[in-house]
Amino acid sequence: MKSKFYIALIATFLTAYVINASARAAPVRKKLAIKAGSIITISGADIKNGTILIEDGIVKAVGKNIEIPWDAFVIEAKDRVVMPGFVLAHTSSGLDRANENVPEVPFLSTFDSIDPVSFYFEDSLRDGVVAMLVLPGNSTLLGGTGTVVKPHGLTVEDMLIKPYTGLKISLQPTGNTSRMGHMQRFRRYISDLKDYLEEYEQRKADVKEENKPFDEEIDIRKQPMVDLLNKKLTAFIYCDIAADVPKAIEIHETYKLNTVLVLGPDCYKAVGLIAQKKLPVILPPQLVVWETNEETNEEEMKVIPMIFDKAGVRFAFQTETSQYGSRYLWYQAATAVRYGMKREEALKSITLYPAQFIGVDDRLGSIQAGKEATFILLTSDPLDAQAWVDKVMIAGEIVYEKEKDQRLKKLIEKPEEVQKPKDTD
Amino acid sequence: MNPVKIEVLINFMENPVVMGHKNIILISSMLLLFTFTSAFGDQGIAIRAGHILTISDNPIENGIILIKGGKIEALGQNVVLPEDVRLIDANDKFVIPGLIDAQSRLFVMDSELDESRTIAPELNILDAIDPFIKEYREVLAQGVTAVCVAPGSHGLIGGRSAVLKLNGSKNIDRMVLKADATVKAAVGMSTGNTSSSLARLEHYSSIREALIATKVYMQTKEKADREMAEYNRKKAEYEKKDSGKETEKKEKPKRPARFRSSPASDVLAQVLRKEIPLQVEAHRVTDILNVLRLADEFGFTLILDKCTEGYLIADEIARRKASVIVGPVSTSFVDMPRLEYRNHDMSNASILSKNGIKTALGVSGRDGASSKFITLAAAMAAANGMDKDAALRAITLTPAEMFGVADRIGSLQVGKDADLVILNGHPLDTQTRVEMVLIEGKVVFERKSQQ
Repeated sequence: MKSKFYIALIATFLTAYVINASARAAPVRKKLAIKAGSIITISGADIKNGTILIEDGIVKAVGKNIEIPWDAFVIEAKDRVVMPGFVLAHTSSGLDRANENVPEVPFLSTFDSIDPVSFYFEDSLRDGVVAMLVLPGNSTLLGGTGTVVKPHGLTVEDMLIKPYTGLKISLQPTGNTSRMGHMQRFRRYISDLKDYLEEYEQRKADVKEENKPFDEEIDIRKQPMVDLLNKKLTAFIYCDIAADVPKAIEIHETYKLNTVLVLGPDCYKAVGLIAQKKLPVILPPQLVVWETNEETNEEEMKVIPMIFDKAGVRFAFQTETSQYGSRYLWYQAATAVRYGMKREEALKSITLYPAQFIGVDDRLGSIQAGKEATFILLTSDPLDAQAWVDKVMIAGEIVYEKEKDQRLKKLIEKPEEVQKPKDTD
Repeated sequence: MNPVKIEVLINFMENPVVMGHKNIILISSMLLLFTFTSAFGDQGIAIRAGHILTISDNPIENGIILIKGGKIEALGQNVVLPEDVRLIDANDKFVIPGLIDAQSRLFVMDSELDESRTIAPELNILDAIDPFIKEYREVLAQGVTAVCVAPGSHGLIGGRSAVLKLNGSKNIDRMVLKADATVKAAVGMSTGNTSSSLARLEHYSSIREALIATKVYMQTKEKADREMAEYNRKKAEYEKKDSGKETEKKEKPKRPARFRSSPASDVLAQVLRKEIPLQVEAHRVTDILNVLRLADEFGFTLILDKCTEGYLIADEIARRKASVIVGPVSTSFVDMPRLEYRNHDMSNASILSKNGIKTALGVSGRDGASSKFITLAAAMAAANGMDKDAALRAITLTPAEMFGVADRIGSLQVGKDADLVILNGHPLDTQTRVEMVLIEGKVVFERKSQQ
């Protein structure tokens, strides 16, 4: 009886495994080749009429004269531009709620707040974004940690690219707090944390001396800030106005952090300080601001990406869903190019640089052998307003096709003629 | 030298930005300008002046001020003029040290007013500084080269103040002449249109309680330090015995509980140790007397701020050797929005200084740009009986002494910073115009012909 039971059990497992494996393998073809009219590699020169070879979702080779293996599935994209998908290094969209009203909540994670069915993710995929760091909003002193996701998947686990990435610090005081009080609160938090860690280490040493097992773990509410101080987490410091930048630099230097500055539109005035410290920067969604020159009393246009580009600061663009123009990453890059930024740099600022800032540049950000096969196939140049994202491939799997985008169809197709109600009389 | 060019240069020197090859011409022209000015810097500047008001000593007629390395190298009638200096001719002009507004709001952001806590000495005004404002230029153009900025009078103990230079730097560290210049407190402030004796008592006793708590804190800290030292000594002894093969083993010493420091108490401890003066805003006689009582009890260095009714009890203030910052010197109650000003008297500064009290003047303006009126404040104090020299001292050397920066600024003396103002007349004359302002030997303002 017993042996029969075991055989049945094993058989069940086997069937389950086979079904499961086939189910998983089905959408991803093992070997793929994309024959593209134009490839923007970002890491190297653009390639005309090139081929990208993909195996198991990873780029094997990219170039002009690449032999396509007999067993590879070939995607013909002669009239398409293939480039790495856009990466967004900072967003608070797609969250259930961006900010807490308690100022010190570093232990919160956007992982628990991301809404996979939010229109934001659907829109992002349609616009060619393949990875985004979702961080808490800009109005909480220690807002919590972020999550890198792709805008594709029905659960946050499906969407996940990299959990526990970046910690949001906001220097904008809220409520009945002055900027002095805000900074002091931050310093106080760290000094309390250091006290706690010192006492913790002491307890550990004491227990060790008595040869007893030490099973006390670091308070999980404090763990993210400990990881911040150990450089395991990057600080994303939000500066609302230019005067916050010196404070952010002070924090960066005093506590020796890995820092990315998230800037407000006023912060271009502090470009000198930022360039001096060589800090990576995420530009405000609003790229052009007007300011009155006090001497001439004339309105002067300030093009923020140009100011930072000239100063040699490495930056990434971000988008803002509430502003029409700043909704699209490609439009941000196109705006910068229009005002004189080099095209290559502008394209890097929406692919490779943000990938570096959020620590996924080993997988994303450029088309290179060894990186993930995550591309967008465009109908024309990425900075052209007439370009459509035709297909999005994430890790060798086509996850978006314009043809099958029902919602988009509804938007661009001619509406069916509305039938007038017939007169019943 | 064009001040605009210098501004560009200063910015460039502070922010050596990486530039594209397109800007090579710009860089090279800047380098040229740089070598040009640094040559001046090395060679020095000399000012030949008709009247030098040194403030600390007697005025010098037809003298020469030699500036080298941002400091005053020589000063007097018999200074030998080196050949390779840049000579600024101010033969018919006055030269005075850069002016100081002791009650300024320049560079301070409005959000500073939002703090809801009342006893918060650990707050630092440097966290509320906006170095990117433009108003400082018009203040500079009136000869003000340094300001003392303090937290407002919203909290009982509002935080620490700082002395800033108007050198145009965007780097706060370079602007700061002295951090933690004073700890700012305020007593007897009315809320809205009401003022009550109960609130008055509460303010007094809250500050007193904070100071008493600080005394206890200092003692506890001292005790904890002693115990820790004792423990370390015993532990070393124990470990030494442990390694040697001693038979008589002592008991292992027990570590004392860790002392947790408090930033607020640490600041107030510095006040009690007289390392930082306590600057207390008090207006009415009862409040001033309360503050004087606190000073008697705790023995801190006291600076009375505003001190509106001080003239009524000048002898009491003089007896305690407290210094006073009077302000605003104004005839308009728009400048004095609170009830506490109702017994305001224009001769306050005059009476206080005549009683031998160290008296400084401040604009106490409601915005940063008001600091440009500092000479008007001094002129009005002089018009109401204050000695002219005392009034000028009250906006230069006296505040410098109060804030502990008199070794750097406040008067024209060999070795001090070359922060000075060239004017076409006496500084307290309203017809006088500022011709040129230098900070640390650099021309930061120069009047254009039509200005």
